[in-house]
Amino acid sequence: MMKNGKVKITAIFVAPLMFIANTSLSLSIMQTSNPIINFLRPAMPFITNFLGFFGNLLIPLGEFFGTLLQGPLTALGQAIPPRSATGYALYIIIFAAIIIVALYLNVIWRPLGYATSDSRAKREAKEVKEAEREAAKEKAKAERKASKRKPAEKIEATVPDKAGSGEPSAEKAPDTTKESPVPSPPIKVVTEKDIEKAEQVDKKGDDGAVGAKADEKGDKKD
Amino acid sequence: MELDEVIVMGAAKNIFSGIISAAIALASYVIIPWIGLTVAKSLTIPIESGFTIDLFREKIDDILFYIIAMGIIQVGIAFAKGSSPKYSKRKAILSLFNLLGAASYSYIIKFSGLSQIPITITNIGEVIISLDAFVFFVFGIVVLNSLLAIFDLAIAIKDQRKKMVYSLDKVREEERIAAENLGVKV
Repeated sequence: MMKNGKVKITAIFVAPLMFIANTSLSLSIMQTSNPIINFLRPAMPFITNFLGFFGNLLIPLGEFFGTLLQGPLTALGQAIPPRSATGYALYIIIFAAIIIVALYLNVIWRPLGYATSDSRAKREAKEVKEAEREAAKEKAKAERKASKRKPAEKIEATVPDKAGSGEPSAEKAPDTTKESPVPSPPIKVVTEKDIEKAEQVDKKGDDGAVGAKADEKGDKKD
Repeated sequence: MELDEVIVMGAAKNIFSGIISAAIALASYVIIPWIGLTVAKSLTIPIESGFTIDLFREKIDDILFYIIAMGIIQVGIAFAKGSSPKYSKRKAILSLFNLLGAASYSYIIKFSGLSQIPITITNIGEVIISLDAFVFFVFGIVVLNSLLAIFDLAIAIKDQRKKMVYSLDKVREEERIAAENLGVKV
């Protein structure tokens, strides 16, 4: 218990003091008038440690790689023609060749590149959704059109003939090609007696109304 | 969208990303070193300051030549890499070439004498600032990036074999052949 208590006291009192001492030391070492460095100064020990860690990791790795590649790179260095021989011409030719090959590969041969199967599935799902939405829109449009047409048809049904002409409208004209379900009444032959009767009725009535009535009666009789 | 339009869009996108990569490579491999070495070449330090920097001025022109020559090739490779489509094996292979170029570039800097800068201070003597550690640091970064590029290449090959990635160009080609077989002009 005592030991733990001592550790706690050390952690609480000594660590902050050490931190302050370390910071103050770095502050005393670095005295600049640069505002950026002044701003970064308290963080410098951490940055140094951070960079030091990477340095400790990367520098031995680089040394190993450098010694490994020293032979091939020396050969390459010797193979590079000196400045006096060709100037930059050779390098410009290599540069142009790389650019032309890159343009051919990426513009003519395979300009579209690659996509993941996940993105393909997503795109297809999106396309299906869009198609469904379009179909729903078309359906709604068709329904709206049909609902607009219905009242117009009702109005046309109440007015069988076209205004001004005694002929029935083309839309409402009976289809003679189709057989009607109701059998048509037997055709009566108009005899001379019927004509005489109709003439007598016309003579009796002076105005058209009576004639019309007579016509109706005649029709009914017929 | 028409097939031709899609191809033109894809090509334009590739070229644009290639130009961006090439511009970054041009700045980092050619322009910045060229400016730095040109400034160092024409640097004059007053005698009153008490120190002189010996920069192998007679060698700077040769170093500059090699740096620009390697930089031009690096720019070309960067364009090829940047314009390669994503998930392609070509991109990973060109990354490896790019890293090999970067290693050669660092090698030139190290062995041309640029990594050792002698400074002569009056009444004290000569101090040599060694940038070898920095060059090895760059080599280390190149190694790590090379490992990542090899890993990337392995992933690209695996994904294409397992059909996790597919070529849009091949799909378009198949569609075109199918349409032609049906008698539809594409």
